[in-house]
Amino acid sequence: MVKQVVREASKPLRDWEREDREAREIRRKYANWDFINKQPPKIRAALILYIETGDLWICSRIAGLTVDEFNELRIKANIPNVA
Amino acid sequence: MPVVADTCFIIDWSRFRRRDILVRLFGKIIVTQYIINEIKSDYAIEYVSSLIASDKLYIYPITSSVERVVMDLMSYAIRDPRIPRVDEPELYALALGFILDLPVLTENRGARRLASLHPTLARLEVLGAIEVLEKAIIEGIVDVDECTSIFDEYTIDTKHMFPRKRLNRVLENLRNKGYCR
Repeated sequence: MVKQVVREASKPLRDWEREDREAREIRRKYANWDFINKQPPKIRAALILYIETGDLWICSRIAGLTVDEFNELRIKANIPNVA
Repeated sequence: MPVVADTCFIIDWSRFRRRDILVRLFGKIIVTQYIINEIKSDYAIEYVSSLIASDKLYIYPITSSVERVVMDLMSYAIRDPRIPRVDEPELYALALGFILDLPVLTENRGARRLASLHPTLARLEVLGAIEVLEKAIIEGIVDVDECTSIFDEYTIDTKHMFPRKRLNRVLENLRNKGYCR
């Protein structure tokens, strides 16, 4: 069985930080900001948090939606899941 | 070998046109009850229902032994500044993977780092969609002629982008081993 996590463990913290930064930049770049800015405050805040963190579950809680509903909203807002 | 999947992974994967790959690769998928409360879209409901109907999806109960592992993982994650926040569904998936000694499917960066740093999880295999697709190519479930297009298909269907460096590394590895033309 291939141990994928071994590869991860050998990474220095700065590599992880760089990956996080790159993922955030991609989400910011592709996001449909017009769509996001037209949303009610709670939804808008959750979408912006998703752009910053990429964490679906916590953003869905903030939006008051299920994970699946928030994922549909992410797709409508053209925010890629970068992973 | 069966696999444990977190809720977010299954919801993402359910939109993929070739979502059958998961069962062909792992046979059975273990999830927690979280998933039932979280699915709403036609894609996810149809996918999860079809998995249950064909006895391919098992909902594992959250018992006190699972809770104990979750608390230990959470405690470790909070204390290690290298680990971003790990959310509940991912913690339960890691705990089940550890208890059942099965691979875990998750894209959550906190969960992946926790698995790579927590000494108890040293043997745990953690996979994201990119590694699942890589495995599917190696196992011959995906034809070698489709080895690049399959990643594009996943991106189109799920709006899930693979980091370029990571994708290039996977493709290079596949080419070096003769799994990709």
